[in-house]
Amino acid sequence: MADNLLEIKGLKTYFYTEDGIVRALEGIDLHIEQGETLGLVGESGCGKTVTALSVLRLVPDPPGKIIEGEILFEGVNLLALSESDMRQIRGNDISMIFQDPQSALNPVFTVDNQLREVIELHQGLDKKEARQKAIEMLDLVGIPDPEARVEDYPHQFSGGMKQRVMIAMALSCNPKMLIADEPTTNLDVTVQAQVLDMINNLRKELGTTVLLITHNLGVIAEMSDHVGVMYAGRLVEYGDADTIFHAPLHPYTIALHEAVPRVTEKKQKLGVIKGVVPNLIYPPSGCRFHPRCDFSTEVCEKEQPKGEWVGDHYVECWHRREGTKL
Amino acid sequence: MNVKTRKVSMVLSIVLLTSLVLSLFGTTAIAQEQQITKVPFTEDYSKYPPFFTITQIAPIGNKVREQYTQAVNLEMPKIGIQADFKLLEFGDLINREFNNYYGKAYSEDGFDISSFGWSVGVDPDPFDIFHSSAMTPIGNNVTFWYCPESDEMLAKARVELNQETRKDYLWRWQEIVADEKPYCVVYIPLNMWASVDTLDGFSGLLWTQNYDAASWSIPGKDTIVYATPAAVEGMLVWRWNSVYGYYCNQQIFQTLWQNDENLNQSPVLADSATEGPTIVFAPSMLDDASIEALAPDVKKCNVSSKLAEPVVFPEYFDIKIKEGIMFHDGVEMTSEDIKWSFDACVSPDTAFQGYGTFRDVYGGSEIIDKYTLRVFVGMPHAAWLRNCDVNILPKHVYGSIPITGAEAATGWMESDVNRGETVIGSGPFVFDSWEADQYWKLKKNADYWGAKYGLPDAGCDFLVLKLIPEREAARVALETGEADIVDTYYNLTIIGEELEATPGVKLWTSEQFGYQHLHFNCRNPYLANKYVRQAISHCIDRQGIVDNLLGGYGVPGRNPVAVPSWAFNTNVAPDSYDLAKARELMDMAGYRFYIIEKEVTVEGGEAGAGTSTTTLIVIGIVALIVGLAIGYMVKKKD
Amino acid sequence: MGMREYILKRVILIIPMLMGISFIVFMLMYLMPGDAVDLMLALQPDTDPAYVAHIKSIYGLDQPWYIQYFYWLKQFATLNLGSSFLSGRDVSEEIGARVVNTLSYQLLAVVFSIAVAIPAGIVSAVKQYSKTDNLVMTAALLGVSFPIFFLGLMNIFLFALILGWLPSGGAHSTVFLGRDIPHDFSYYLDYLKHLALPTLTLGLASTAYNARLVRSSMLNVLREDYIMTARAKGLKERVVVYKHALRNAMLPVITVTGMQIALTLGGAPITETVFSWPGLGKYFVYAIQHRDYFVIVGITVVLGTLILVANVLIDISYKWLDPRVEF
Repeated sequence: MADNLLEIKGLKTYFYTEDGIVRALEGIDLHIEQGETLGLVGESGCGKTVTALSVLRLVPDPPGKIIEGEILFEGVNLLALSESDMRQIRGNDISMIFQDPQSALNPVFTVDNQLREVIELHQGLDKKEARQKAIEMLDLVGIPDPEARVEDYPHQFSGGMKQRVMIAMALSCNPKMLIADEPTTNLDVTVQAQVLDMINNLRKELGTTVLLITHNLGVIAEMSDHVGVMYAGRLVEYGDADTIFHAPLHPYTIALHEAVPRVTEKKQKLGVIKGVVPNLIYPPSGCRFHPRCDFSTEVCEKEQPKGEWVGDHYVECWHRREGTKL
Repeated sequence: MNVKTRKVSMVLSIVLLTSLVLSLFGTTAIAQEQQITKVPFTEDYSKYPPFFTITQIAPIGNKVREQYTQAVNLEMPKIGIQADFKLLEFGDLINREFNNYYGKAYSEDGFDISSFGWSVGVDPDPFDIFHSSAMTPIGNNVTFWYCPESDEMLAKARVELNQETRKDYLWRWQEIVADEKPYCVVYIPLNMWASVDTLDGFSGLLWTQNYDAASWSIPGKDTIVYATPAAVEGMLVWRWNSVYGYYCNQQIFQTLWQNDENLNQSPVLADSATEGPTIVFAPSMLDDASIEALAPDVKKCNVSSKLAEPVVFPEYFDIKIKEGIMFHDGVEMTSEDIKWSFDACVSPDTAFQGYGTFRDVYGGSEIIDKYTLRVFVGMPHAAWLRNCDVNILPKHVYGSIPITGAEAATGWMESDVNRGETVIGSGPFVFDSWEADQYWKLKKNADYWGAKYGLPDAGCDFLVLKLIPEREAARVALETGEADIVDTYYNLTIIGEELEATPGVKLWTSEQFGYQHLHFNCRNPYLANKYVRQAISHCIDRQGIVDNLLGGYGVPGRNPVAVPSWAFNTNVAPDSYDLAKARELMDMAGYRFYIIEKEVTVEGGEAGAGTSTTTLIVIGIVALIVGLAIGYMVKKKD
Repeated sequence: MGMREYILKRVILIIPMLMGISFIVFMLMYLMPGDAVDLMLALQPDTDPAYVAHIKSIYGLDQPWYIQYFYWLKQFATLNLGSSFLSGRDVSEEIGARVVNTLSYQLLAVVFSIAVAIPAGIVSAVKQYSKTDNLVMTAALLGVSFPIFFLGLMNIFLFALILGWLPSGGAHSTVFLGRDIPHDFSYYLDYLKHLALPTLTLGLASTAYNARLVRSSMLNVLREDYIMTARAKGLKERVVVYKHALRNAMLPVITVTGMQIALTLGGAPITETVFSWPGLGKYFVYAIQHRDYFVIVGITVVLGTLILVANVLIDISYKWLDPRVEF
């Protein structure tokens, strides 16, 4: 486990709503190695995005609050930083792109304005230089005729183009880490591949570490070095991509795989994970997955399973499905 | 279904229905014993069905009037009159009463009972409101009331030059009105002005009664600010849309006579008036032959139908004006200015709407010499001279504005005088400036001619009339020193007690020259009966209205004549608030306060009256249902 | 469609709209009982009916209303609004003497209300459910619930009577009334002092409303993704709120402000009455009460034009605020 860029230790993030406390993250341990791509996967509402927002300390407060834990970025605990120090990190060391490029760009300002903003802020360039840099960035992400398009407003770009602009914006300060929260979910399928390719290429080119959040296993398979599987505010399995895809040990991961259509196999029916995503105000006792797990026993109901590392592979389950081959 | 069964079922139904009806009739037939109870006059009648229903109306705007109308409205059911209450927009009310009315009831776009207020002069001329020849739309007799003796008194009073004799007529007339009650005078409010307590020389009379602004002064202040609630329109010399334009006119322009502080007619421009020889005036409805037959010197009255019968009256008056009256531009006033002003004022083409009476009484004029004008009588009128209260304008300044022909109306409207650009009169104040909706500013006339005749110079250098529409705002302005006098039309009596307690504020009161009243549509079949009208008058708690609604700042009403006037008949007692008396009067009007209470005694006597009726009804209904059921079954069988 | 064509089209559309408005107003006016002459003479008991008829014929009041409307339209085609039955002056002159007074405090009130409502709304949106938020919203609720008449009188009592800072009403102090008063600095200063209370009163009423609007609009915008983007860029919260959120939050506020212009103009009679302010609103009511037909129509046409022009300006500012808007 050499050279972790980011290390998350025992992170708990709660949301204090009128209905009760939503325990969105209930103790997450996660690390990302320098230069790699970590894929974070899980159902909607499992806490992937909250993890990302917690890293940037952008969890909306109120109602959200990081209760405890540590987020070490290059060995510095981000949770202990002052707000102004944190602002130095946002957009500069860690930047983020969001899942809906349609709404992630401010409709009333030109692309130039929005790109320059971050460049001027973090790189101390003047307006002219920043504009030049903005044009370069647009060129880099493959926007044709960037000198002219830089003056356009977001609504004049297509969805894929907007996401490229977002990526340009996120990468314009050469961040050490890029958090991509479902970057392709709202895009056309044909565009998805292009954008993913681009992220991959840029990552290699610039040496950026990427935290890729998605619920799409296919995307993870293509992009990630390591994969973390989240369920109901917990990290349930972690390992290198190969292991997670070919030798998962957690019943949930296995179930996820079965729910994915495959071209290579001819299955009559897709696997379905029974039950619903648990209510995080009143989470299930013991293992949070037990009500939906085919293998659950009494102990699952009573006690939270302890995570266990086997080499580089982390599993949090009372009944590791050893030897399951997919 | 065949014809036979249909017949059977029909017959059956008819029999059953008839039996039901008969059974009900039978009830009354059995219960022949009726007990007739007479409701005593002292008992509240509102729980019994009313004798008739009418509609009471009042214009929106005057809160006290709205309230007293409502108060009376709540009393009337107690004497058996059901009255609906409608607050109408002023224009609607005017339309109902004056324009398309002809004695029609409320339901036919006329009215039944209306609340209203008249303002009247020192010299009362109730002819136009009460004489039968002045019924709307010709005159303002909205009540359609007709009483021969009243007509006679009014006709005599309006042409009697002797004030004592005139008083006798009018006092008698007020007795008639008190008995006949076409009008119920409810109260006479007090005028109330509030001013800084240093104000001096204020008469506490309306400007229309006594134009005394020249005598006002406040030690240490050269500008007096007078707050008025209504818009100040323009310098329409002989026409005004609010009394405030009139206020200002009266300080700049002058009339032949005006009232002194005791309301006696005193000369201003006039020096003297001499009656000419008397002749007989005949009503214009008489044809020329009949007039010839009366006497050789009979003059036909030029005003249609306003004279009831031939009267003897001076043919003309020779009016002499003072010498040395100077207009503001330094030119002396002559009889020519008077004649021209009179002619301009009455010309129909100029569309001046003021001076209605003057237009009737003026019969043309003739210049005798530089200071004397012979004014012919157009219509005999008791207060003939008082009605010659026309503003006198300099002919040499305004003479170029046409007073006849198509251009006259627009010519005057667009003239310099109306626009406030050239305003030249003869009064103690000179026009300074004016801005629509804001103010009028008058300046002291430094060269006023009046001193040698004992007429006072203006007591302040500037007089400013400032428009402040809201009462509370005007009161604050008085307290902050932005205004010195607050006009009576704010209905200050509503906050009278508070003002009395405010330091530095002085109140001035006088009885209003007018009266608030209810008047009746005497063509309404119910209200045509004078006992009904009297009864309603006894439903009005006049003292209560004065005490509770006016805070004591008022006088209970008696006669439709201004209280301070010499013509007010002090012998007429005000109607008491007495519902028993009112019910007695309703009884006299033919509305018997008897009530038939159905007390049924069934023969055999063991069941109570009520129970037996109910039982019979129940039996009837059961019979009906059974009948219908049988009919239905018969049908079904087909 | 380009901006220029759009404006041209809107301006041309004003003409048929004014014709429609004036037609309706004419029809309504003549449905009111009584005309100017009837009301002038109502309290003069002894006027000869023939004379009344004569006067009516001078003013053309004896004609049916549609004929009168036709005459008015003919006049209006030459931009002549006719003259007042009551004062005799041209309607355009009467309106001209008052329209500036009305516009001055109306516009100032809008400026005041926006200037106060935006910061107040932002503060209470950014600090939602905080004490400041509660305070601002309670004040706004009070402001919305007070009738303007009451608010006006309270302001007079407070600022004119108790504190004595401002005059209670009118447009000028007595010393500035008159023909020969020089229109110098102190004259205008005095006018501004008199302007303060009407502006404040009208402004407070709409401030209350606008603050609530800004708050809710701001709350909506602050939930948008691009706000998160802006924060993720490391921008200061101030920049996020005032640059990224505010401009977007202003869109509904501008819309409502545009509609408010018509509404507050409708409230002008009350404000102007309370403060003795020589404006169009009070005059309008006066004209209706006295059935001064040409003045009524004239004011309607002028106010209608103002509102239509205001709407065009709002549309233009929309385009400026939001590049997505296409005409």
